[in-house]
Amino acid sequence: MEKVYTFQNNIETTPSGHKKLIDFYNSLKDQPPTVVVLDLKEVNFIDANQCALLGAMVTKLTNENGHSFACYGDQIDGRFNILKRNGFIKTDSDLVKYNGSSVPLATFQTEDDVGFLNYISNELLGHDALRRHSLFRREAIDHFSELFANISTHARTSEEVFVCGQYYPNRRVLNFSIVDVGVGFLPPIQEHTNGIIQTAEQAIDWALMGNTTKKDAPGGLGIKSLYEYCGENRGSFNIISGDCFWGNNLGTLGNRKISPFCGTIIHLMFKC
Amino acid sequence: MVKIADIIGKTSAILHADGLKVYNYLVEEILRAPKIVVSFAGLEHCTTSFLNASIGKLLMNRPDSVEKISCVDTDEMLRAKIEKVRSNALNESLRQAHDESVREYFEA
Repeated sequence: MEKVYTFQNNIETTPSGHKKLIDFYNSLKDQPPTVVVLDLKEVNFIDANQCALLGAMVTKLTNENGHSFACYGDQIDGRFNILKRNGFIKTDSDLVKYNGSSVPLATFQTEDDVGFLNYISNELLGHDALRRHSLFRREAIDHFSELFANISTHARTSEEVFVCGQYYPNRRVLNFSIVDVGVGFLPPIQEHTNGIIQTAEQAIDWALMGNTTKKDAPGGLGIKSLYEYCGENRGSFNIISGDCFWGNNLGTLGNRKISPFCGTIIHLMFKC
Repeated sequence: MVKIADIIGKTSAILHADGLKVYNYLVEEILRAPKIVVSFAGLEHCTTSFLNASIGKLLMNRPDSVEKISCVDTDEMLRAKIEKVRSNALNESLRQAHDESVREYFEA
């Protein structure tokens, strides 16, 4: 069976960008094995860091449903070359080795902290403009490491973690996304609080306050520190888990309801 | 001297699981030695997750060990993290008050 899935409008690091990706996933998750052609003719712009989420979805649909995926070559070569450069679309050419503003899509086992750190140091922060900011590099590596440690401890998954980024030199903004397909924020926090925390939105707020589900050791400083760091440095920070898209860049409301995907997605957008 | 990099066999201390390896080492060491010097030499990065599972857990379970442990080969950023972890681990009444206020916030 073959199906063409046409994405609508832009796929940005926003609640509406997420909705488009989750709609894509939901339209295929209960289908028999299908060859799915990703049609991008209606799309003008993709935040390349969203390839972490798209990559996680495609991998899940491939492994669990037996789907396979293809793209129209002319659309990729013409407007979405970035998907080759960041390795989302596999190619034998040297495009993926080009060390420009693209940051490769990569996956890591949750215990592979060494591989993750190498990626962060050499790929995500490998751009010449970022190498000059030694303090930013040091702080960013620390915060990304805290995130990875948090996922390693709490995601409860043996599946790989997906990461991808994008550096926008003109705007001097670095986007980074990390996606795990684990249990998400709510189940362990609901269990730990004996049901006091009942929604994904409450669970995210609870974690941002510096709480931890660990009973045998203190904890909870990593996410809170990152939240504070983003506040002090005009960075944007999104946590998407369950049906909640939380962000410090979403105005006074602070969150949006979305269709749930599994696990947790975190986006960081730093000015640098 | 306890050199963390030697215990975990890595140049960065990131994971909770690695913190627990150090905790297990320190728990035994503290029974033998009156003072322990913990060296962070050779570590490029260190997370609070790691520190909570190692030094934080030790201080939470054995608050008396705070007088016996000293951390060396640290820079300003790492010292700030260690201090946060230390305060968080030692101040049980603060933790309880925090938990209580959070519970009230979400139950309201």
